[in-house]
Amino acid sequence: MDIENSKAQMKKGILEYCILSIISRGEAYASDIIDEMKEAKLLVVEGTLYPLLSRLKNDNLLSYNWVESKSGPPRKYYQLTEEGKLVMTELEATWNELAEAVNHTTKKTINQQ
Amino acid sequence: MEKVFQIHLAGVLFTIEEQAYLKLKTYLDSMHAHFNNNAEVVQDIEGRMAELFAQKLGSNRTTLFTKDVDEVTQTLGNIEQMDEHGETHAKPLESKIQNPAHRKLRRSPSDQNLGGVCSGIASFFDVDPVMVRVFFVIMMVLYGSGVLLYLVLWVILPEAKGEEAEYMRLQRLNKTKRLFRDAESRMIGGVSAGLASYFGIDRTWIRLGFVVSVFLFGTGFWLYIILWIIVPKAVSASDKLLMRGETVDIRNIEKEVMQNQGSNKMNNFAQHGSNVLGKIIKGAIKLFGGFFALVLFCMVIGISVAMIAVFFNLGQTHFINELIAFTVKDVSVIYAAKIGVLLTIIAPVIGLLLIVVKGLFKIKLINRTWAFTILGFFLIGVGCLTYAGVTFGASVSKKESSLMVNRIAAPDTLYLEGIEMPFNNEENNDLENDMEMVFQDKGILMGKDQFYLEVDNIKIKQGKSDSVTLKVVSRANGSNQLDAKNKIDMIIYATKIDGNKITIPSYFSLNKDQQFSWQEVDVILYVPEKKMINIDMNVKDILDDANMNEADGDFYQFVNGELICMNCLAQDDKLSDEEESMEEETNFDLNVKDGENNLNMEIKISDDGNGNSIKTKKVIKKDGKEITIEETKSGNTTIKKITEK
Repeated sequence: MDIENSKAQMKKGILEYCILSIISRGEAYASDIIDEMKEAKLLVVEGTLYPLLSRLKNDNLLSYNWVESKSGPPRKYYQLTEEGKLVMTELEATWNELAEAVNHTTKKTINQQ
Repeated sequence: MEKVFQIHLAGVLFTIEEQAYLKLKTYLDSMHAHFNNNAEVVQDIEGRMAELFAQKLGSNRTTLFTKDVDEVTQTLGNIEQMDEHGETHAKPLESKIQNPAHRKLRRSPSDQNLGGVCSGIASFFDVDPVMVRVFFVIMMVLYGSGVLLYLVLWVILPEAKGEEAEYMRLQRLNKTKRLFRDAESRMIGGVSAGLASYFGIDRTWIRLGFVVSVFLFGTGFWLYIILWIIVPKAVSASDKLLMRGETVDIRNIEKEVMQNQGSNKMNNFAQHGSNVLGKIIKGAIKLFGGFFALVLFCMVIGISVAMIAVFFNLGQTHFINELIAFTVKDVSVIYAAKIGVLLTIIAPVIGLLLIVVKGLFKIKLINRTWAFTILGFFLIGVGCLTYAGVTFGASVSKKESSLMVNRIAAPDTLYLEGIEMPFNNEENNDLENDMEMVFQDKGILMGKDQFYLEVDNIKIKQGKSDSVTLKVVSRANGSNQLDAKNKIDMIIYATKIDGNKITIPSYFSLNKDQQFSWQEVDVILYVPEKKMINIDMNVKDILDDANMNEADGDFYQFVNGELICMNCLAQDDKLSDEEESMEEETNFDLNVKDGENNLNMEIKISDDGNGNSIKTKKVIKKDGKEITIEETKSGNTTIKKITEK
């Protein structure tokens, strides 16, 4: 079994959910998202975020506005589209179910050990 | 002392030290190579870098150093680190390329010369796009069908999106080798260098091949130009790796980019000379292409003007328009046909013009909407022509004929007289325009109120009965039987019978307010055997009997179904005369004078000495008129020339 691939697959889904979750609280631009994810130790390098954002946008889950910035280049402020909100709710439900299921199952395993 | 550069990063100006610049460029180049179908990601990354640099510089420093670049690239991570977290995976090539679900016939969003049709097809069939382009170029030469095929595919094929585009990109990178133009070691356009890399031969041989084939009817020249246009230039690091057949991975790309930094400066000087040659030739080609585009443009204008003129009946197109109006009474058919012709001619020319301009000057004049519009116009044109053809065809689908029989009691010799088409008849002919034309081997002449049409057949046959019978068959086409009958009734044709004399006009007329609907007239005269017929010159001219035209007599009789000349110099007699005379002399002159009828005939016969070729010259003078008949007979062929003064 390709452990690296499984890890990556797991993480990919979770990352998407987390990004949507952060943006769902209100408009956010890349640095905000990065800061929050770094805090949660979800990100090792910042570069990972951009392809994900681009893909979520291309899948019509996100949209963005350009906002001028006093220091530095203009920023893209992301927000969830209607579709994005739907997907977000679904992912939330799935995550909760999964978390519970995983907790339930793994608790027993851990207890046995 | 350090050299510095000024760069724009996401619209922000930075001053950067040389070493740091090289590092930054390498990093961004590798990003470009990796995300080359998704420029947005690289833009976002550049934006983030600009932001981080701006933070680092603050207000007390103006120049970026290697350290800054290192820190920022570490924060953002290299491609392997990015991949670790899930978006594009460590083994994308094999897994995605083997997923046939994404192999669909789509237009390629990247790697396109025009609309990405060729690369799309190449990706689908897993061949080099250059091959597909060569195919289209060949098709273009074959009646321009390549242009239309391309436009059709451009319109009907959707562009590859998302996974499909990614599949195309990866498939391209997964190729071991692709044909590119090698701009770095070029002499003119880099075609030879590219071919050399592709086939693994020394480029000198390829160049020699081109130079030699230039002398083979210039094929080398054209081949080079075509390849210059259709083979893409190796621009990015991955292109260059593919050109040389090296594996495209991050390590190689970085190596390639680093090498370029060093070699660019060194090569600049050495390349200067050959670049000048390339530029001159490129300029000449652009000039030539510009000229070609200009010609096409003039064609577009010319065709439009001509068509508008025909459309609104302007200028010298009078006769054709009258004839069309005379033939087609349904106005919608005329307009449909005119629009159809205009669109079907002009649409491909405009398409070709836009393609030429795009190819030469890289001006994006043509896009999918344009292609769609042009194709749309073409199809509307075809539709119009089809409508016109079908409607008109239906209106002349039924053929009818009517027969008129006259029995003539002519006790004595029958006199036949003909009336020729009223050519050069000022009464009927409007001298400003040339009013004659030939339609389906049939002369048509326009008069003031009428069109004159040649009678199709005039024949004299031996009849079974004792009386002379004149048959006139009229035919016409119409939408149905009744309509066709009506069209036959439009024919104005009158043979005149006056005792022993029959007058047969060689034409019939149709009034201009009537309609031409393939009306035809045949005249057949049945004459009993042994009846003497006098046939005048006019009738001979219009008779469908080649022997008749040649015969010089005017009294005839049917014997056993054959029309025999009664007062001609019999061919056999003449020949024997000649043979006799030729024994003594090769030239033979004869003068006949008939004072009563004021007729003078000179006959001169000569041959070339071997008896292979015999020349006969007859000059007949009567009432101030002079007819010269020259006949040259060599072997079995006879050439005859008649001049009348």
